[in-house]
Amino acid sequence: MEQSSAKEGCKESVKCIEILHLLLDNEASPTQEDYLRSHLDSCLPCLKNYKVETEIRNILRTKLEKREVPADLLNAIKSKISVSLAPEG
Amino acid sequence: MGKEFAEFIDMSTTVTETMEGPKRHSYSDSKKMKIFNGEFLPHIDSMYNFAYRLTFDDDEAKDLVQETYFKAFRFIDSFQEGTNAKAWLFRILKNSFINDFRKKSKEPAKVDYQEVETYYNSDDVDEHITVDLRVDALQNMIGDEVSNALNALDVDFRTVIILCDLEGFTYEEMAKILDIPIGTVRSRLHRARNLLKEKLKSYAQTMGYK
Repeated sequence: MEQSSAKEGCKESVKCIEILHLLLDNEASPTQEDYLRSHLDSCLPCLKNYKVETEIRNILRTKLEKREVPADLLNAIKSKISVSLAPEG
Repeated sequence: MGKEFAEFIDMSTTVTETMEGPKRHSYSDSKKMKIFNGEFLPHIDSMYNFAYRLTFDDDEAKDLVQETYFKAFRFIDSFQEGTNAKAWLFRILKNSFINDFRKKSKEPAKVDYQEVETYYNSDDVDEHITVDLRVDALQNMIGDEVSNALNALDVDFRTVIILCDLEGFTYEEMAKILDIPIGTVRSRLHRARNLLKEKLKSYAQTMGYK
């Protein structure tokens, strides 16, 4: 396995970044996951990428404001659905 | 079975099955209400937030969610009880947005993303340009900055980030919601992440991070 310092960059960065995204999206195969996990032990540039990509997903999940569903929306939907089921006449 | 009906394919079916059209059920009224209340309505929070992130407007988001639920109820016989209601609803919402809302919204003309993807997937472009970004810069960002970075992306790129990172859909579910092959989901997501990183990087720079 190649060892890369932060300065020189990873020689397999294209492959590693691709697998990194799959791993963080829970889409990596066990083989891809094993490869990347052991690669991260020895490759500083990829480890840095891993931390940054993880944090980006983290801030998206935790820092974006969630909008409250308007109070009248649920009732409006429910009442229109009930009307559509009511027998005609 | 009109074209409109095609959007209500059963999300649990395979591609081959959907070629033959969705399977129809004949639910009783009480069964319809049970499915609607028990499987559809619990997703209203995610639906509303998705609609808002597409339209940037509370009233339009409300209309979009309402329309989605009405359509879902109207075509409930093509939904298989107990399958992936959330993905099914998101697919209807996305189609309603494209067909009805995008036309009247102020959003600039739709980018031909097929062309964009072909371009970015070609060998001429180094897709793996690393955007240097520090973890502490990301941690110090406030919600508005993250939100602005996401909202600055073209709607097609914004959508894949929302579906994947905020809503946790799998690539396969995203392919069904968006009507695109899984390979396209991956490449669009990859491009979207790079664009988002560039936006976040420029915020980090304004905060004084190098």
